[in-house]
Amino acid sequence: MTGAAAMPATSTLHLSELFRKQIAERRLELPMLPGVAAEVLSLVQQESTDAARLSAVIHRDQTLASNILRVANSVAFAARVSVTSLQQAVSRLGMAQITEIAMAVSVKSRVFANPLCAELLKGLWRHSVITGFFTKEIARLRRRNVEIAFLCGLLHDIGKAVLLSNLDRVVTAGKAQVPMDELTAALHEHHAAAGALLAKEWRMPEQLAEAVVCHHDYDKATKFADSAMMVCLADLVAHFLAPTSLGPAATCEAIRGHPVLAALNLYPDQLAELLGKGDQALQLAESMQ
Amino acid sequence: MSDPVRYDVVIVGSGPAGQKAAIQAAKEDRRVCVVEREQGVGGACVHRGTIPSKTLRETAVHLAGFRLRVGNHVQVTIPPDLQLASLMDRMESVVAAHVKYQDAQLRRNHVEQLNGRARFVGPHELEVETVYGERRRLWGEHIVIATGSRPRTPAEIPIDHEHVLDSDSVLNMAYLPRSLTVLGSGVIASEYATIFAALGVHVTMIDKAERPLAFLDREIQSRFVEAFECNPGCVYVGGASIARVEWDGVSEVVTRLANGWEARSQKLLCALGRVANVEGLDIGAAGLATNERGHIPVDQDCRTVVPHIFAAGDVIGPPSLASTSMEQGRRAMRCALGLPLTAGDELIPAGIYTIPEISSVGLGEAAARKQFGDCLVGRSRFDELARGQIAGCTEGLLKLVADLHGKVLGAQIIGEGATELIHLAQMAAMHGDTVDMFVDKIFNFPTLAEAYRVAAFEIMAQRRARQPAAG
Repeated sequence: MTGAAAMPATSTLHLSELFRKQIAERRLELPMLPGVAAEVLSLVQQESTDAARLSAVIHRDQTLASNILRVANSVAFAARVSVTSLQQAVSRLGMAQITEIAMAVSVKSRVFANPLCAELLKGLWRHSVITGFFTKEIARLRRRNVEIAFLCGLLHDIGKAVLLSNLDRVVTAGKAQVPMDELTAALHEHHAAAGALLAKEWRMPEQLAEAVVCHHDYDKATKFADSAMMVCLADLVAHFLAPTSLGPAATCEAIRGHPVLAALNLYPDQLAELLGKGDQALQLAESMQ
Repeated sequence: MSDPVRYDVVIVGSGPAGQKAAIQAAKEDRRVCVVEREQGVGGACVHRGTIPSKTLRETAVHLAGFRLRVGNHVQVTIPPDLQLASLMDRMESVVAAHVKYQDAQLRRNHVEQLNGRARFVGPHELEVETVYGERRRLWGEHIVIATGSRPRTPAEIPIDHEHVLDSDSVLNMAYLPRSLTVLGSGVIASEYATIFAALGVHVTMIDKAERPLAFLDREIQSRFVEAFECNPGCVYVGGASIARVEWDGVSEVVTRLANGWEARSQKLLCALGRVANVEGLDIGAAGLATNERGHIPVDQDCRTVVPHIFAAGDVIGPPSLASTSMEQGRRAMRCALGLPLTAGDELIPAGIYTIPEISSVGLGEAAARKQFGDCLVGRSRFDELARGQIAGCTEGLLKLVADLHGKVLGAQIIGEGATELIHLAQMAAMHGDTVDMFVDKIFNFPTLAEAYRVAAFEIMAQRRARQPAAG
């Protein structure tokens, strides 16, 4: 636990209980949605959005603009000619993809940025990108609309990032390290609740919010159960292909026997087709680091 | 692998055709198993087609009606960031209720259900694979293939389910687009085009057919196009040859025609027909093959070339209506079990849930003239009816077709309530009634059914005028 080792913490305090209290008493510090990301998220929801408006919004944040160019030029997006301007990036990758990249870059810089947990957050970010990739692929495979699928997967564990960002504020009393298994268990137990708070704070679209809150408990989704189920499977596949220290490593057998496969009605050959896209997912995760 | 489980009847698919076939067999005390590859019974009709699209249509109809009635006093607009799902918030409960009802019906009739993908391993034997990869074998004395259809994806149309959609993915678009191009002019294309038009989307329908819904009466087609093009920004482009469809990489889908004309829209719906779900079934192992259109050929009783195997519903081709599929499933099973069959196949009505809706039964004017040399035609416009004015559905038209003695041959209706109204004509045609019946009997007033009286009067007048010549 590279990041957590540097902070004051104790195992005598039950981390899970501390998180629970923080959430119940609304004392969890929620990161602001970066201004540009908020605008981008709002633009995605508007029918009148066009490339010019999107470019204009992104141009206001030079760090974001340069990061988009970096990602647009990465191997995952296979540009033969290097992309040098934002307009060129928009026309090369399309507005939807630029929106996804913009959201990813903005959220990463704001929510996945606690230096005390840098290594953990880096792993979590990689897992999130891979989950976003697979959520989109599962939607496509099932001939469902893929518009918002990537963001659903990308943000599904944002509650964990919020909890990690709060870790140094929550655990102040002792000096011992938080044991990794205790941290993992506490994050798993409370990340949906923390994600729910953030979804409300950021006024996420309902589909995104349900993916964040219900991806482990898709029966509780009220409107977008299908979306939550796709994120659930993508999450499992991501854990299998790229295990992180924060989540349970999934085995191929565990995926093949998981009830979500039946719920999504995906047959073994379709699952194999999905797993065959692992390299693409890893490449995308690399490009978005 | 253990011996196959033996059944009197194995049915592959639980949509309208499979469901009715199963119930028919169960009512005759046969041991029946239905194999369904999707979760829950009902097939595409319940989960991806008829029921979900009609739920969205219901919202669009209410919105259009509300605009019509209070639009002069209250501004009715849809917020630009409205999620499509919020227009379909009843869908989940409607689908769940329907699945529950159908499932209960199968259980009540002791029909066994198996979730998995079936493939033939012999003329009487099927292997079923579950989502978890388990396999089991079934043996059926009779087998019914009712696997339905899915949207056709022409190689030249780059369907990505993001910008270029098919009729499955169009229903879960995140947000209402500002503009939509619809490729096709059949039932599905026309239904979605008018639903989105009623929701305020600018819709361009493009097809090689000069007019949409080619199988309908020309007057009804014209009324349909007029009603559709009354919506702001909506147009039908007929006689078109599509040269290329592409996402411009920025914000629009570009549809180029061979004549150089192009349409740009935020989304495109490809509704250029459906293909039968036969892949993976390995019908060759049972001695079957598809025809040149990819459908399983059957006779009038839905029997395939292998006598104990039947096929029903979309998998045998047009008309691909849920109502027709139900009758085909029932008929196939009655034939398989040697039960008496009734005639009347040709009097199945067609219901098209466009806005306004359209329905037809029996012969249209052109078909009647072709078959009988001449016919009598009575028309009633809904704007001449008290109920039409009250309800604001003045664009409607009923066309009644009769032989020279006034015997009802068919009817075509466009206008709200058409799919319900058509059953009066269906009953009259089935019983060989003349149009006089519509005048002699008393209908409620004010109702749209009054249109039958108006049309009947017109036919009676034509009949009187022709009487000396008719002898």
